[in-house]
Amino acid sequence: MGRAALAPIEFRDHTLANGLRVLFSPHRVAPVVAVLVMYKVGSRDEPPGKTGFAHLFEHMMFQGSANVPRGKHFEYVESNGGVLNGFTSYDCTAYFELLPASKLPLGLWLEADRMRSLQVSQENLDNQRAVVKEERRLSIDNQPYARALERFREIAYDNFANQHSVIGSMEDLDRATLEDVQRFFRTYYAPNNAVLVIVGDYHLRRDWALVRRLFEDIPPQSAPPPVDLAEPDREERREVFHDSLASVPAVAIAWKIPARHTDANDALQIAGEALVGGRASRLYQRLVKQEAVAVSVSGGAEARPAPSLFRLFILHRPDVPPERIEQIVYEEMARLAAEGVSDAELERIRTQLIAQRWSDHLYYGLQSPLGRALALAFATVFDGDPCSVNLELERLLRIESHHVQQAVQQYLNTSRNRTVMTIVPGAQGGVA
Amino acid sequence: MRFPTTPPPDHPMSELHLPLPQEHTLPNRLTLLLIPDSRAPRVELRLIIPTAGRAFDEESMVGLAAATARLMTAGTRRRTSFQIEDEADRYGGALSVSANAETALLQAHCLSRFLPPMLDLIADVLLNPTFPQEEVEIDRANTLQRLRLQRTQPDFLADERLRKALFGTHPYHRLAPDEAALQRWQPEHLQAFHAQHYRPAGATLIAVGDFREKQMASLIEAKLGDWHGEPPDNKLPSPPTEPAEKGEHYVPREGSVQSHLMLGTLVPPRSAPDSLELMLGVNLLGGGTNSRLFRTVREQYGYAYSVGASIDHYRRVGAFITQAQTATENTRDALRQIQHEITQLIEKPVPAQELQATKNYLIGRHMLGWITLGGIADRFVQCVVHRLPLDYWHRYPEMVQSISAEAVQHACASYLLPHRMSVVVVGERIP
Repeated sequence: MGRAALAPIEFRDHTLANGLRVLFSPHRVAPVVAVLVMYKVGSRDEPPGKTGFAHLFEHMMFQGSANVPRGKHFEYVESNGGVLNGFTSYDCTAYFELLPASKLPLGLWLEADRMRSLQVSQENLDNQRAVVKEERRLSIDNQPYARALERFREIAYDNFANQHSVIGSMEDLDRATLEDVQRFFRTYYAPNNAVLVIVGDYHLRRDWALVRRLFEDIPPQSAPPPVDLAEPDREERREVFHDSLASVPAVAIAWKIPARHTDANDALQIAGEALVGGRASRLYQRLVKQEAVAVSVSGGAEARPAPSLFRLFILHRPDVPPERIEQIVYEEMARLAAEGVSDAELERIRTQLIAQRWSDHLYYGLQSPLGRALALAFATVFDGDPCSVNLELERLLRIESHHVQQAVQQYLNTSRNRTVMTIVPGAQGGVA
Repeated sequence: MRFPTTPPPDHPMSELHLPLPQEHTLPNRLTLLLIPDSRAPRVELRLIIPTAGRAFDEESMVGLAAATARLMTAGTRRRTSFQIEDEADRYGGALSVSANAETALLQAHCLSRFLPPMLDLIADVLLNPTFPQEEVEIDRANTLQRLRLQRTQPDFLADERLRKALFGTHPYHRLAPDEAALQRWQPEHLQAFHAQHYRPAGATLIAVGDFREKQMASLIEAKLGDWHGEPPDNKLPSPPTEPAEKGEHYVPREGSVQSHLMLGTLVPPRSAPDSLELMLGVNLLGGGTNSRLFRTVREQYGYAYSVGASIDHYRRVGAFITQAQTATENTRDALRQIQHEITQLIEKPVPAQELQATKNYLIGRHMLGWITLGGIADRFVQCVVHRLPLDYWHRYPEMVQSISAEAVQHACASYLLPHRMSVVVVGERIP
């Protein structure tokens, strides 16, 4: 493979006196710069009764700080030609701006101001609670399969920290108080619990001085309480879900698998590509083409910094019983465990992994400064070391057929830790 | 040093250098637009087929254009559908064909070192598709299921109803295949549509990425030089300029916990003289998080998580569309607020600061379009589809900067009048 395709991401890694880790990475294809702050907090940190809190808090981060009145964050960024957003996941929360390079000082100042002085009022909290409820209705309650898949995650895991959805429940959202918000900010939004990444067209000496000036005197806090994410072994769990909004039957299957950057997870990433990575994959070919029993197949191995899931979601034809879908899936798992992947298949998967690294997406891949910033932030927050960003591909390219075989045999070709949900269209709503 | 209470001063501005494609025309009248760019070891390809879109379907075969596009990768004289997918993957790439309103678009990318075999694959798909019977049957059954799924999704239902309200019987209203036609078409129908419309004369191939211009031109000529013919001189009927059904339309959806709200009307196409002025007004209304709709409907009142306004461009007309998803009980209030904001645009000139902020937003978004190879390719796809000059994007910042508040108000007052709107509500009950 050409050297250019494998070129590493270059970066500088410094930690400020208050514990804020700062990464600078050059990328000068256009006069733009990405500023990203990732905090080590996600839905996994929410205790029972407070689900949806990390995400509700993400909304509060746009509601004003000492020098940026409510609504002005959006205005500052967009009226200066930038775009912005934030997202909350199970394991982290991130905020970013993609700006014309000349506006880097603005981006850094906005992030510093809210890290040092977020201001929240009861009125803003109530307003954003209403917005988040609409977000929940839009993305979950009013969509076919979405409530089923939220429920699926709850039964696929056994530990509350992993089970509940990022968006949370309406009841818990109603319970969030101003004091909760303030406590959450103190605990998790400290400089020593974050990483700041700057990628694009900057000037290192000049901008490093600016970062120190804006961030270094934000006081650190004691480390947040650790969360137990361990998952017990268990037997298979099954459920039928009647989805009143759906019209096509579906089967969801998941197995609990080890966390990212373990040998087993790496091997299962390759297994995921072989089984459901695109239309040349084994399950797509078998289910959609050869047997013509499924409408679509999606899934693969998650790479959380926690016990993860290998997930499959299959929309199938109404005249085919879900048992037949399951049977084919298990046959393919058994075949992969027995025979592994062929040389030709492995070569195809490896080329795709290299190509995906250069994806065209604004959030993923090396073409976009934001894609680079996110990759560096994930490596730092999830693996504790930004260097892991350049080892990720290597880890996957060294996987051989026998590694796949072994991992599939141990984790997927078994009913242990498996969860199966059949989703039946129409009536009844909720769990059968 | 104390923390500054206002943003620190800007750094000096560096300039954005935009490429201009090198234009070639092959003897078969296929136009090539080539942009060598080595920022990534990858090549992006876009082929625009001018008359193979959904609007060119015959009334009795609505959906055929989309099926033809979709099934071109389902088998050729030399390759099975699996071989096509497998090869594209092996080249670190992807290959698909889809039908838009007027045009069909072949999109492909690959790692640059696999460019010659990728072009061979593209040529095969383009020239020799066979539409195998068994693949047509699989597609038929799955399209039917997908159609069922779409009819459970509020955004699809709203979009489908609004297009009908705007375009009436004009083929621009088509979104999904007709179920009866879907049951009827056979490989020979797909073959005939392909033979008629997928012709090089008038088509444009855009390539952006890590290649040399001369080599690329001769490589394409070697692979596509044997492709011949002209598409039929089919003209679409003139699109309407006024919505076919104004006023409110309700689409019941049982079990909805939200209303999906859409407002729209017809506006001039992108090539019209006042199209940028209108686009500026529409972005000020509902583009991004600093727009009036976001600030009021979402941030002030909490009616919706997602609210926005935009223009869907067709070659000869545009559709102004505003949408929001809101709790059923807030539907009426959200609709009123949206209508109020539109009226404000018509009645009052935009304040200077807000006008400049929106200009900066549009120019900033424009800059972000030039970061990735695919982004660059897509900018020129827009030029080709809407027949804009190739230096359109070079002139864009200046054109945006020169727009006055009066011109924005005039454009909005010309097209966004309340009595010209069609309103669609998808939900549990009439609000």
